[in-house]
Amino acid sequence: MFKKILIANRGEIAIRIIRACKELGIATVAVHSTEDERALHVRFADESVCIGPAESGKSYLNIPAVIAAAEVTGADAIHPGYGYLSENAAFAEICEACRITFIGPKASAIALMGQKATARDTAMKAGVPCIPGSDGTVADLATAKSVAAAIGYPVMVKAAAGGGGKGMRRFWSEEELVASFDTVRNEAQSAFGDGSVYIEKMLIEPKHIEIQIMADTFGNAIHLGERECSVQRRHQKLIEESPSPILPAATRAKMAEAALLLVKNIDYSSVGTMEFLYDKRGEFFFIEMNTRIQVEHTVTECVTGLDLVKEQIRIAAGQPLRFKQEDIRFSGAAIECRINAEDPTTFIPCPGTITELNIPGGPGVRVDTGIYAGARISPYYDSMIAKLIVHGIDREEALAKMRRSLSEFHVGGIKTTIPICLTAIKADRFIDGTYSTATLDEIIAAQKEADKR
Amino acid sequence: MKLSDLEKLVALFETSGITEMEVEQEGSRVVLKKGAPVVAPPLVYAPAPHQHISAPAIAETSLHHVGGDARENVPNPNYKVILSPMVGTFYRSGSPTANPFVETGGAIRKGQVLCIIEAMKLMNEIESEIDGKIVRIFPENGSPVEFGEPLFEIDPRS
Repeated sequence: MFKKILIANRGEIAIRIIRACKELGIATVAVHSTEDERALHVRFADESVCIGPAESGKSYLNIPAVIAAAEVTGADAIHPGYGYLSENAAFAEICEACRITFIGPKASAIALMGQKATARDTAMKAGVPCIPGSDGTVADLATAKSVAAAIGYPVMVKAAAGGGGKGMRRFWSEEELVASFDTVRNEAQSAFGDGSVYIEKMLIEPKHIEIQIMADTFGNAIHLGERECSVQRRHQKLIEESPSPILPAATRAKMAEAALLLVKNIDYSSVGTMEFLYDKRGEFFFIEMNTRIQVEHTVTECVTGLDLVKEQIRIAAGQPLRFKQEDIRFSGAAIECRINAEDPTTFIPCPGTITELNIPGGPGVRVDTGIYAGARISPYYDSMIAKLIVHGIDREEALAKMRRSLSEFHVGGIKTTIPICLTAIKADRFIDGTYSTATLDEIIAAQKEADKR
Repeated sequence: MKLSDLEKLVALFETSGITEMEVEQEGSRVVLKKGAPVVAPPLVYAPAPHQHISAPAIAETSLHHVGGDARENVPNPNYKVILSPMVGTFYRSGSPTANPFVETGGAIRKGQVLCIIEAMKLMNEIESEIDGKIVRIFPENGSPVEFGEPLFEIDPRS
């Protein structure tokens, strides 16, 4: 087992990882920018190293600085969290070359599944259903036109190196495609340094349902059920839950089977998530794989009773999985709301200082956060400042707990998305479970209209 | 007013922070004053507990900040402090057998190599941006340094 782990991240996930390390008796090293000198993750860790100025590119994404910090502190492993360097295959390789264990899958698996086009190819070869689309990337407009015509409009043009909902655009007709195909490629080039794009059929009112998997270095792999993450604003998740309120058991089993089939095909170890879109007609299609721990791992932890970060550390330390599929039990329903430092109507980020704080509690309520009264929310980093997770004996109880705890959550001094979360969980389509990935955008648009009047 | 009551009143008044007091009871009136200023002291409310409640103090005591001590010193405004531009291990000389690049009290010129910071097996030469004299060398030879950590205090006037 590792003696010391360096956490190459910040905010709530850095604290999450530090907590798992402490419980396992592993020493922790926090890295931070000058901006984060007073951050909670720095204070909770046993040691800390300032690795650069405020800009993420010069600090949290600065590979030489992170590696140097591991070297000077003698860390034998690095946990990359999510975002930042977590899906950077080059970083995973460098860790390996420096004889520091990267807590995650092999660099080759990250590279394979990190590029959306190759991930899709891999899935198709494994027999996992994918959304009808182009065969790999589309190099020119002529090809784009013929592929789109074959699939049928509407289509999505997506950046191959994109992710997290960025770098994708819809086209409802050939006219639109002809007008903006090159623009999309230029945008991809400047945003991701890679202008390659591919085309996919656009699904109507799809639901985003993902399967959590866990695999060790001995060829064992299990799934930990699904999460539904359809409440999204511009492809950014806001509310996630487990289980999905409407997924038939047979479909769940098929999706889990498909996820494990794919895992076995790619020589994967660590935790990971297969994302699917579940169409109104009952079909599911693979869209991408996240080769890291995810923000919403929490709801899976609630319903399974497992600590995914600890299991991830154990797997990286070379231990076999402690559970077989039949050992996994699912209990109750869990919901998570992401709390962002944003205006709840315009969603413009609102950095500032937190003057007052009341964090909700009570049975079945969990809050993962790095904020504290007096904390400064920086404009340099992601606007998510907390995650509120509830676990109830069934979905009805979970909904009641979420309504109750959102009302208790008080953050003074900055604006947060708590009000929009409350609106969303009270919406009819959320309560009856029929919501799709378009629902939140519709709710927001409706609210804007109502405010105007 | 009975004498015993008056005694109690005086005792109370003496120990209190009040400087002037007037009591009227059953036709008697007692005025008590003390101290030079007769002006009532401004009412000073204890300041409301600062909302800047720091994160749990437990973390502070157990925290080891890589090379953090140097920051606590009060800097001399006339001197310039050269901060580390990177994370790594600080070396005073180019190799274990070589002489240190600079010594305290020594003169330095702009562009002169002051030290080496080693990271990922690469030796990075840190150059001075100014002319002057070394007043202080903060890190120990071979110790880890972090980004922004003070390395040298330079008197630029020399």
